[in-house]
Amino acid sequence: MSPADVSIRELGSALRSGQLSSAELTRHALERIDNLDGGIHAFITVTAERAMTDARRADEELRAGRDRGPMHGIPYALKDIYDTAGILTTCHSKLLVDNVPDTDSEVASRFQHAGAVLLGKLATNEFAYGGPSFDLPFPPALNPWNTEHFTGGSSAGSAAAVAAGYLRMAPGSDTGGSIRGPAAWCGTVGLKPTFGLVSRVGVYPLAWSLDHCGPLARSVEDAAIGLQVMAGHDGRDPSSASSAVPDYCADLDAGVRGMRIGVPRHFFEAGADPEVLRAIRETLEGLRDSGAVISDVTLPDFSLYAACCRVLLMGEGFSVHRENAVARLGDYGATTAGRLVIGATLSAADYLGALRLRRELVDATNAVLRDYDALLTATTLQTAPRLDDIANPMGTASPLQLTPFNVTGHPAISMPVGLSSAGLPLAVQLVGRPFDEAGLLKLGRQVEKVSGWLDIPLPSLG
Amino acid sequence: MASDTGDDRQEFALLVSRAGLEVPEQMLDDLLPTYQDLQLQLAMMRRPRPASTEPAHLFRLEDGEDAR
Repeated sequence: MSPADVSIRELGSALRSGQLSSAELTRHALERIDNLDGGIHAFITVTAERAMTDARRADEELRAGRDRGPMHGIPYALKDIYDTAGILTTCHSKLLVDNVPDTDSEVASRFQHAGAVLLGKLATNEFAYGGPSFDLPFPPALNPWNTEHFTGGSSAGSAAAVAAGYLRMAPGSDTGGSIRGPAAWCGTVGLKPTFGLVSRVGVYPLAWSLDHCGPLARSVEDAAIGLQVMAGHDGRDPSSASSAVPDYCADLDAGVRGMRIGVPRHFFEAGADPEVLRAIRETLEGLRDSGAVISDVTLPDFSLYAACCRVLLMGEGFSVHRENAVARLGDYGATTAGRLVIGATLSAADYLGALRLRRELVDATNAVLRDYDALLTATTLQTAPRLDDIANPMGTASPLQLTPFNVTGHPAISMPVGLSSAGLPLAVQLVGRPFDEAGLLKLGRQVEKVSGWLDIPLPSLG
Repeated sequence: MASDTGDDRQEFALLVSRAGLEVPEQMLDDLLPTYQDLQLQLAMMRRPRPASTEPAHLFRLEDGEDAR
């Protein structure tokens, strides 16, 4: 059995019992990347030397009785918008192709202190903004389930690396669905936590009022372990919340009996592929059989959430990139440049109108969640599209159902639930109350059980 | 919102120029449908909203300090 088929918790047990060393585990991961990533392009930079140094240190510490927790000695990698001291951090862009930060992002620092082993930096859409793009210094990551299909973006490398079995967990970022979209299309768990739960310090911003950091992982438990490291107040992030951080693994297997789940069918029923609808129906049946109470609910029209997110994202995105857009627009890829140009046309009144609409949408979403513990909806309306059949990246027509919860900040998780007739992953999205990641992960764990997803082997890659 | 494609194109080019961007004419042409699409979304969002939706200031309190 490959270490990629063993959970982080089980790997940790093997490390502590001496059955396995972090150096062996890391060497195996590096060999797998070396053998396979030429066909997947999940990594921009592989930090093999650093990884082996981290791994040997982790082994020495465990032998000496110093245990830093569940990520101690476990390989992981970071989306290339997370700053890493002394390590190339490109944002997948020509503009930062030689950028080597002096300091770590807060998330990188937390994983370092947790004893994790950094394998390298992962592909993204340029500045986490639009894609896939073929006019950048590095190729886009390809979907391990079928390399002719899109991974989704922007945390493309994070999702591809997990699905390829290089590692069990990789942090991504989600401004308009960039964790949950690639998670859905690559068959991984993808958790966008509540806005403010995870520090964005040292993570290149896309739109500061929508940006969230969170884990993509092979399983719900792996995601919970990753979130445990990432979550917590950081006074340097002006949006960081000071809420308590519970033990996210404590109640994972407590079941969902009595849990009330609302289903906003009007979000997805008219446009979803029949196989997506079947996956949602079967997931709901499984949860009902597990004791959950399922009801239809009505949220504001999806198009209002989508418009609000687009205006906030494009307005803030242009603000972030304004100086470079004015001076070096031609150095961006065409998709990023186009989005920046469109964002430049927004007025202050329209941006403020979107902020005010956001307040109404947050209140309306919270009003529904007063009577429900969680929502269940589609992550996407279809499985991963072919790369040569991507809809216009500049248009509003999108199969993704993700932006509402960037606008409102509610925690949301994409859960893989099966494979389509074409062998591509199917997924559902669960949405929780603010800062109830523990409840959301518990529900996700039950979805994982009823779907049997973890019994489905990872895609075969050469 | 401008009433036809010609007016939209002129308005789009003006706004881009006012933002300080130098954008090739072909790129403006290519992006015009996206600009028009955004105008439809903006029109959908524009309406009077109550004072309860006004973006608020938040005070940042030091650790141990309460709101009194």
